[in-house]
Amino acid sequence: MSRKKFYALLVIAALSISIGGLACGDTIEQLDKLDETYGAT
Amino acid sequence: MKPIDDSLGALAPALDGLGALAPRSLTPNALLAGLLGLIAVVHLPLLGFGFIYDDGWTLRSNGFLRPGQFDLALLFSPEAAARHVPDAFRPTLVVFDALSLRALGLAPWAHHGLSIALHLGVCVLLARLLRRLGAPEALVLGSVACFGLLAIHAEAVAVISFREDLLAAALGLGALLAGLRMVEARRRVLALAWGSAAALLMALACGAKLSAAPLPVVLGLLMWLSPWAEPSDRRPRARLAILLGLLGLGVGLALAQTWLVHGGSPYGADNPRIYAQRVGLGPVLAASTQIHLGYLQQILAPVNLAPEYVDRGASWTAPATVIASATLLGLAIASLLPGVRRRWPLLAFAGLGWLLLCIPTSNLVGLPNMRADRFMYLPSVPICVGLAAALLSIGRRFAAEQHQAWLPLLGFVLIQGSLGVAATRVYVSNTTLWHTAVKRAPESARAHALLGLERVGAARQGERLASEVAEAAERSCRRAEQLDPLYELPQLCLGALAIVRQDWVLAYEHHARAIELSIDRNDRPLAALAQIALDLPAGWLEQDRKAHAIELLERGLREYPYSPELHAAAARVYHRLGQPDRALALYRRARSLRPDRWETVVGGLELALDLGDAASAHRTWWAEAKLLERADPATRTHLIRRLATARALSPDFSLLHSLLNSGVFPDEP
Repeated sequence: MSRKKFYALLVIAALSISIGGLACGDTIEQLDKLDETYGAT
Repeated sequence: MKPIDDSLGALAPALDGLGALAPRSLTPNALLAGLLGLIAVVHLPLLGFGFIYDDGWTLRSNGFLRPGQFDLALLFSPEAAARHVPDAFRPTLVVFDALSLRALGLAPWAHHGLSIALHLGVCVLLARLLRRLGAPEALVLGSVACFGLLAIHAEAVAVISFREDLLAAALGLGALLAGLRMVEARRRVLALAWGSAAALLMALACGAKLSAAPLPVVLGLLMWLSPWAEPSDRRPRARLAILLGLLGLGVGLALAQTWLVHGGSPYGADNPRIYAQRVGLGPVLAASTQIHLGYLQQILAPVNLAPEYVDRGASWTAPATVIASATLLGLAIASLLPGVRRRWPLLAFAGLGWLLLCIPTSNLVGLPNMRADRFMYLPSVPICVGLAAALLSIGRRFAAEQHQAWLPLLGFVLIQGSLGVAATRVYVSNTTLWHTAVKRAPESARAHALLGLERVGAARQGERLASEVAEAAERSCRRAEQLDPLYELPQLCLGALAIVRQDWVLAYEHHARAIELSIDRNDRPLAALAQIALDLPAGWLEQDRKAHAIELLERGLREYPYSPELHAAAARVYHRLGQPDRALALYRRARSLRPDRWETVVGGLELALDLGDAASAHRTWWAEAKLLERADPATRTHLIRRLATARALSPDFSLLHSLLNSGVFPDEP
């Protein structure tokens, strides 16, 4: 494997993960109304 | 086709062969840097996320971290618990938070950047540790790729206040590395220095989170299994024993700090939030076996990752418990079998190492959450090493050409990374988090209560609470109360809703009940209760309303000396009761505990206006212009009008006079 192929593999991997992440998620992102919360643990 | 024992049994030569697949012109470090770059890029969207979950409690509203308040010695005395310092039993984390707050301020992107850097740091330390232990380079890279992109790490990396897990892992792996340097050192002085560093780093790791405590045993396990060392290459046993003793000393020091501060469990012996207090340890441990089988599934096949899980007990005779217990026991026994240990030492290490690292969060000792994805951050390390070895071995066995041997690992990492990115999006904001939590854990009282509070929160931002939103909020609060009548959050949810509806009696009753149920974090409920008490109908309370409000506030100020919200609320009450000196002192303290809170500045400014000090009010308005831009439009308009009136009513007012005035907050934070 050449150096160029290695870098290309990294770029393809990053793109695949990003696109895969968008495709797999079912979250609707919403903004917060509050900046003070009661915490949770 | 090679037999499996050729590839997993004598793993080192098998994986050495894979090293040839790497670009010939790139050094191992350059390959690792490329991989770290990929892990960093995948996590970059986190920079756009906000403060969520406990970030407010540990960072934003944690007055103890501010300059002038922070006192390291306090973290080693019972006073830390008495003064309700957040996470007082994790001194390393508290110091790290204080330093990060000074270096980065309160910019969420910078703190998320720090979390990503910590995660990358853990990846680097894992690579260094594996190399030092003699692992082949292909396995080093494969393990780092698996660990760096494992989907179950989404919560630990995406939530700023959970960097305790990252910090503990980084310091713990650092301790093991220093320990190995000690064992290999030729000079005694060097060995002593590395040994001391290992003990110190282990103490710091456990001081960040006790999840690092089993690491000395895991190192001992690695030495015992010797997956990469020839029998003649065994390290000196005497030094290894000393090292394990030193690492154990580090763990002991961290435990001693917890004992000093809390005198036992950091969560309180009778804390109702610990589920074992309600149903007993047996049912909790039975459920814990199912939980751990679930963790294993989530690590290998990352579906059903969630920000929230419901605490529950289980019967030891339930089929799910029997299957889970048998699987975990089978895993432990199989890993210990001499045949397995010798032929597949890395798989034995993955199984036993994971089980050992799960002990701190296995619910043997009570925790407020029985289950959380973040608990698997450090325990996933041995599994990642075992998985990388297995996937590389499978690839080598089935690949037609040598370079195809990486394909199984690549496929696994791409799937894990994709599902991990999808899982992190849940943590973009509290609103998204609790909406998702209600969907994934519909039986969670906490999720319903916090979603209800988020809905009520719209009214606190100067918006009118629409009746539909109010009804939705009430449904969430009521459902939460129904799910757990002994939990304070549903009461706070109903109390907040009553405040918005200006039903002071109901608001008082719910807040009083919340304080009764909760054993910690009562600062804001006390502040709310004191303010509500002043608005109760005359005669509703047996005692004088003002005296009652002051009594509540003084109790709160005594118990929570680092709570900015409580100090600001106390200032408002004293302001309202006509005690300006006390109010001013409290406004100033509230400001020093949390300089970024605009509500405190507005309170101080209004006090100056009420006292007729137009110069001081104007000076404060100008000096705090940037902060006050964040106030809601109604508040800003109200202040502008009051300032104009103050100018008109003060014949002596001048621009110069105002600029020379020190303002309400002369000691800028």
